[in-house]
Amino acid sequence: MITKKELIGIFQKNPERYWKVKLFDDLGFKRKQCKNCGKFFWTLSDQETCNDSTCKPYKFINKPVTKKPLNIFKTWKVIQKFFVDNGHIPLKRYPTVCRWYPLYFTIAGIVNFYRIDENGDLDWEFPANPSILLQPSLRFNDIPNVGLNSKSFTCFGMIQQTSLFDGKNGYWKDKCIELDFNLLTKVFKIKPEEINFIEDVWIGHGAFGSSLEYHVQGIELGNAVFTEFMGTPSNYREMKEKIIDMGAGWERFTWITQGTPTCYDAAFGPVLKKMKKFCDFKYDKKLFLNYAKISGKVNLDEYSDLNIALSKVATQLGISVGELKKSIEPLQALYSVADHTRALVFALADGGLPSNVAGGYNLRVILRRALSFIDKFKWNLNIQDVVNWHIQYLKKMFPELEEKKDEINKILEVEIKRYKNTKERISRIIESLSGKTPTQEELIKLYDSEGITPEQLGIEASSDFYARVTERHMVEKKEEEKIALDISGLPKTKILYYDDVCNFRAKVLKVAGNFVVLDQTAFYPTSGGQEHDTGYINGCKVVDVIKLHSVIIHKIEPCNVKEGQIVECKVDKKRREILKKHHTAIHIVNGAARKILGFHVHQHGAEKTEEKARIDITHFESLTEEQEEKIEEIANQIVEKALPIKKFVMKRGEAEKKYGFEIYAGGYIPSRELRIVEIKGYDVEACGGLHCNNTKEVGFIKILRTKRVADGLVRIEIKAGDIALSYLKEKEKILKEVAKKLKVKEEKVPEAVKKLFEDWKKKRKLLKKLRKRIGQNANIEKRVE
Amino acid sequence: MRISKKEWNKLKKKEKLLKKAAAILRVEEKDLPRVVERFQKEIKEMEEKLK
Repeated sequence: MITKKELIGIFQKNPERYWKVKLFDDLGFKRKQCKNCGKFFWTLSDQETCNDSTCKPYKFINKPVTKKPLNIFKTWKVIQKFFVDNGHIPLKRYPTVCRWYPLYFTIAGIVNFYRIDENGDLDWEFPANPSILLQPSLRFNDIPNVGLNSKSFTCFGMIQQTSLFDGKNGYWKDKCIELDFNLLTKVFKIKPEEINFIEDVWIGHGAFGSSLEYHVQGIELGNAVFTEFMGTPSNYREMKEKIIDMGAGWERFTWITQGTPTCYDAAFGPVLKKMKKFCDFKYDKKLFLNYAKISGKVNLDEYSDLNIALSKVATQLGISVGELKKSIEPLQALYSVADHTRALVFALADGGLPSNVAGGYNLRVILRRALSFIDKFKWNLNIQDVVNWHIQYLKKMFPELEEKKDEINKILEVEIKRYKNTKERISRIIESLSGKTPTQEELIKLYDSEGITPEQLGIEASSDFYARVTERHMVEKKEEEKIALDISGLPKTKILYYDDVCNFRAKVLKVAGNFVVLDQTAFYPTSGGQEHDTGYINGCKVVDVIKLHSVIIHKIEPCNVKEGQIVECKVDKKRREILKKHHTAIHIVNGAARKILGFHVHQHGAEKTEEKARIDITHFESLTEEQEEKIEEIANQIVEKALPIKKFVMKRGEAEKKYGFEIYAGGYIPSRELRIVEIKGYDVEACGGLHCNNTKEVGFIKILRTKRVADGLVRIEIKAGDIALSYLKEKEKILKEVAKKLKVKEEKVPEAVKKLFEDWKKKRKLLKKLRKRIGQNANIEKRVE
Repeated sequence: MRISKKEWNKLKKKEKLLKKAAAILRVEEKDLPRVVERFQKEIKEMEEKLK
């Protein structure tokens, strides 16, 4: 695998091909190599070093680039207007919580336009061309730098300029850079000679290309990626349709117009002012201002030790690292609290839930980090207040945040309570440490198992602590199914199971041991949590059915089936019907749970077997008996309504636009076309499973039990239809038997059992007492003798 | 197997009664008849001894 550095080296052999654009020729941009960092950049000035923040201070601090400062809303307004005036279609933001495999969060604007299909290939789809979008994005790999370098966020607005260029429609590099240059010079009035275009490359999942970062006065404002190759740098082909993917920093554009010491001051506006007021925040403004100007040099990606990262800056400021740390730490903490709470606002509003699993892990980390800072500095700050201030400030642009306010607060209340509960365990842990400082690995283990942050133990964590605990939860990793069968060269299996076929003939395409591949099949393979069909192929029992990419493989009991043979196949209809009912029942329960518990409820996982079905939903606490009953009641109301269950194929983009991202259950792999299963008014999911045609066909649904299986995950086990009925009949039989034994009516059984138990305890006590007395009397008699 | 809502609710009520009864003795519902029988037997034996 070629690294980014190696790819830059390859491209730099031909910079004219990869980076030079018409504008550079027209205006006389010169290509130079930075004397400080060694990067190549294009400029109109005679500068020797580039405008990257590691090479230049933030020059616009106290000297904003525009005459009038713009707040975040005005900044977006002028940028959007510029692109719309230049033929771009404005798009509505996508959720920050992705739900589709392998991402948990929207990490950039461009990820909205591609999915990774089951073969691992990128599948692009653009709702408009060219387009402009402001996408709130979440990234948790830069946590240590938040608050420190004045520009890093876990939640940031990405200005996404996109164009698909096929030679006729859209535009390519020349137009992209011309537009971005005009935005900077004409809208933001930045002098052309103050703009640098730094050469870089982008290697994404299955695609790559060159890119030009544009830097102004020490800050990178945007990065225009020219995606033109499919595959990896070692095995690729040129794309027929090339993609302009320019991502710019919304907060950074705002910052350069305000010239505030940090990007946070510009982005969080009144929220930060209120926070400072509540904390009675006092600091050395002059020192901080001097630090802020050169803080872009502080990069904890390069140095995991904060002391080393700060040493150069401290020297430049003429103070010791200790003095600098003492001075900036409270500000770093305050900015981090502001950033983390805003990230939580977007994530929770979009259905994210702090937990110990998957992406929820990152949300819990930032919440606990923020709470730890408040504790550490003993600030009189309520984190829910900060969250509500953010909502208040952002609602005019994101009204959906206000709509979700109550539920966001409810989730936070539970989480804060949990954080406080860990405090009780802290003294026990400190005691067990008996003066020893735990290693980083031990601290990570402690966070994972107990949810206790180093700050809660009074220990200074390494600056990459939070990056290390979150990196394992950034993307989902799926394991390839291991089957001893080579499917290369086999055609896609024709699927018959959606047509309710149970008896069919097929041609055997491949036999390997117990595995058989047919040209077509009605055997449903285990997928989406639904167990496979069983039945017979030429009288041989089918014991397992597996889908590998687009080929369906049948595992059969030893049998004499030959390649090229036409075989008679029969699916076990009874089992199929039960699985269908259980699968549909799970959709119904999912919809009912959302109605009762709230919008944050999402299917994390599910299993549908012949015996029962289960769904793991995202929810922050155990269900009460009342909630359980209500969910069951709603589910059975849906059944009784005899609602049609619509199953249809839709283009991915259209489906996402119409139904939102809730259609994706945990780990779903979206393809270009989605099979949608809709129970109108209750549940819509992208689902490849088998379902009834009408909710009434499911029969009554019985919740067997609910259980909190992990932090943020509640398991609901159910039975449906005849299976549920048999289950209840069995219970009725047992109750009847117990009533008979107790010689009472069935409704009196609990009372009678209680009485029986009391009676047994009473008699046992009496017998014990009597035995003791007999023992004492015997002793007395002995002594008398 | 079709069943009316009334019958379904009746069955559910019975399941609840059984669940409640089993919870008193902290046993699984399927074990309740056997456990009740054991308690009855032990009570009888204790009564004999107490006489």
